[in-house]
Amino acid sequence: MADTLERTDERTEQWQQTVLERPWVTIVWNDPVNLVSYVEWIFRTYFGFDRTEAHRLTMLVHNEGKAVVASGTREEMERHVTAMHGFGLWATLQKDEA
Amino acid sequence: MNGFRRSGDDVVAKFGLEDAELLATLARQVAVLIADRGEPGDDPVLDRLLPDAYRDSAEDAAEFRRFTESELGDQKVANALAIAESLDTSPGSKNVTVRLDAGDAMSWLRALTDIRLALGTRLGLTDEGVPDLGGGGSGGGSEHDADQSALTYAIYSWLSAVQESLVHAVDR
Repeated sequence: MADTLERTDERTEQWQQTVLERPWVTIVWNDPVNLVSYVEWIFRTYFGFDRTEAHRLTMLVHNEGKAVVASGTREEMERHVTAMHGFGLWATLQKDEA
Repeated sequence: MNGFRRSGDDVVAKFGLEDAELLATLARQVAVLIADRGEPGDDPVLDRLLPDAYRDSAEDAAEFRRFTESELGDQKVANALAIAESLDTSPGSKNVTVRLDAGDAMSWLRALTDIRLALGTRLGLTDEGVPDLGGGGSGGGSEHDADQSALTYAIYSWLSAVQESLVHAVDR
């Protein structure tokens, strides 16, 4: 019984961490250099977005100055940001503001 | 230079000798700039090529940089040198034909971006254009500066067209 309880506690702890913690997000920022066609292509090939979503996000970056392109764990977002920097896009990660 | 076009599984472009040499030189300059970089904050070009991953925490940004910047910098140097290498001219030839497979094209797209980011940052380029090219002499720059900027901007625009053609050729 005690064993079961302990395991439940462990699970509960993990659940709290994943459910209650705000996720991390990857933000791509507008810059005057990168081409719309290139950014869309990266969003499709790297993140796997379809053309419509890739275009929507690219226009969001272009017109609003930034767009959240991914959310999840801090480690995942760090990988995405490094990948974006490899493509020459200006990206940062932070905790979700929502 | 008519831009890149599809050729089977590859993409192909023909560059005039002067264009090929110019692009190779720029690629090598960017490679050297990155390879010989100092501390963050020393050069706005490098701050743009290797930006902070965290905006709101200098500590997190520095920590992250310690673990990632070396590899990222090496990749960027390798991409830039790959461009320079594929533009190698044979003596006596009037132009250079560049044939890229998918992997080469990826290196080219990344390196063209880095070169354009470097030129754009040096020009002070914004969404509204280049300040020194505004005319009217109110920018405070000399005529020589304006000439330099005009030349740099012409090269930048040409590279934008090259990259645009490459994106479309890869993304048929």
